Amino acid sequence: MEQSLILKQLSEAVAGGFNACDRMENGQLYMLVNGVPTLNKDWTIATVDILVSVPNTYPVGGLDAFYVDSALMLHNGQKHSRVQPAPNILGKSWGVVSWHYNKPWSFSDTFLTHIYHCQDFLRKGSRSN
Amino acid sequence: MIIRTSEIVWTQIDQILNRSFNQNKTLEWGIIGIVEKLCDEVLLIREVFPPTSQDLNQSEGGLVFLSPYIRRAQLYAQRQGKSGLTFFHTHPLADDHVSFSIFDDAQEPLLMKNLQEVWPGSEHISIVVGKNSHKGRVYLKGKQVQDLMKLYVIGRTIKVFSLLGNSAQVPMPSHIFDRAKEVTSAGALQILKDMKIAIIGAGGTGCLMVELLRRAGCGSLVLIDDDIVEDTNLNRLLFASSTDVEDKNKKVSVALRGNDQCALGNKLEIIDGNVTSSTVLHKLNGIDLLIGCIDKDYPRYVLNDFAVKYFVPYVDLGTEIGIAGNKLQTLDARVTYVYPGGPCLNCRGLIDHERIRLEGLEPQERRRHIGLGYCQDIDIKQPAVMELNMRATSFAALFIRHLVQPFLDQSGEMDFRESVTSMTFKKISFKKQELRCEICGYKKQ
Repeated sequence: MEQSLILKQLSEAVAGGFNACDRMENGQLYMLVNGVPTLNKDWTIATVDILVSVPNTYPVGGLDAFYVDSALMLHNGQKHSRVQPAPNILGKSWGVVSWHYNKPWSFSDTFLTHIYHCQDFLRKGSRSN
Repeated sequence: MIIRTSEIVWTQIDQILNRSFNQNKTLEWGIIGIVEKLCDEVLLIREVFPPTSQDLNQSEGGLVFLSPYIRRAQLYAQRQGKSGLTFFHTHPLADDHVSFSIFDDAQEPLLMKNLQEVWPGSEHISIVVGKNSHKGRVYLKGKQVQDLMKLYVIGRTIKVFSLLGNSAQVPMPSHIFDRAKEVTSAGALQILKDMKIAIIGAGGTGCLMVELLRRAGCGSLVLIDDDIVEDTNLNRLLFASSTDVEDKNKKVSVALRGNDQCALGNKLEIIDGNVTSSTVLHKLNGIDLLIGCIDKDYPRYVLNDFAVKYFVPYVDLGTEIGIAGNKLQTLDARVTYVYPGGPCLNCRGLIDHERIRLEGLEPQERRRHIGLGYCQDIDIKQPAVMELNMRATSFAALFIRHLVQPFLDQSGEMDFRESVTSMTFKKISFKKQELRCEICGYKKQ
């Protein structure tokens, strides 16, 4: 994993308007993005923190799935069916979102494009299946 | 110092130069190649710049590369960030012995000096070609001139040309190899003896490859692995004992001990490391043949990428024991050959990018992702037995003999699989339909 690439892509995400930073726990690198707009009134909160695990084989091994703050709920009081409970990471409780790509990860994908991909899930609200 | 090129490039060179030996036997021919310096020991010729009818002055007195031709090639190579040019020219009357002429010795240094002045830091090669001989030298930075040793042409087979001006003089091989000379003649044996072969992975297949290659006469082996011997390895790790498990010995150290015991005269260099580290990968720069004996996709990706980029022939092997429920379904052994111009492991579908992602996650994180149910469990230790490993390595070693002295049917791509459960052995045709491979650029015809 190239540290310079990680830093470059984090900077791009920040330049794209996201509060993104890198965090490490038990040898695993994560990208933490605070306050991502949820973009859909189905959710009870307007912004949410998301967390993405970055493989040490990145960028050949791409990004997939993500964690959301466990506070993310639908207005009907339910958790989204794609969000499953996850253990604490970085001292915080998360739900893991099973939200995958239809196409293989390519070298044109970046941290920023993955945040957009995660945001697609949020934008669809209760309709994201 | 050696030169490496691909069969495709060599064919282009050969088509021009052969005119001296097949057509007008007094006319000299020449062609310029583009040089890339891989390391202090290896220069690559990745492409050539064929001459047009106005690019060469061919008189009875000798051949002159005209300056517009040289300048075009130089500007092209400079723009591409290459390190220099190669000038091939023929001596039509030379056969088994060729050397630079008085004219070459007088004019060539002036040309090279001029090139190095207009292109600072560049290094250039000159190769004179006889009917059955080649001689080469390189003009290094700092005006130093060095003789070149060999030219490796990598394709469906490996051809090696001496650049010392003579047809290769082959010494009498040791009696150790008397019983193998029908499969590997003295000439082919000399190639194996001189080649530096790296085996990546010292586990179940890697330890057997070392054994087979030293007994095939390979003179210089490099073995790379960072694992220690575990008790579950003892069913298939040659020379390993329970003491190695207790002492937490490295697999490469066990292989080195075995090699020393055999005392067959070959050299085995061990590297305690992983090819996914750039420091270790850098050590492969001077390697003539790569053999992948690994069971993970990320190092396989790294090796495949390296082989494609630097025209290094790469033999990848693997075994798989397939279980469904509690029942044994398949016992497969595979050997795949990657060479410049052919499909690589990626476009053959032998590298799984989802596995590479999972291999890169820490165990706890990996289990969470596997728990999402979208991917196979790569935490499970794959079943492995020595007998199946022997089938893959045995064929790979025979295939390596074939590379230097062909005897196999060379139609189709070089991908072989044996299914032990169905008792079949076949060449696998290239199946995956892709527009163009993003790694090797291969496109199915």
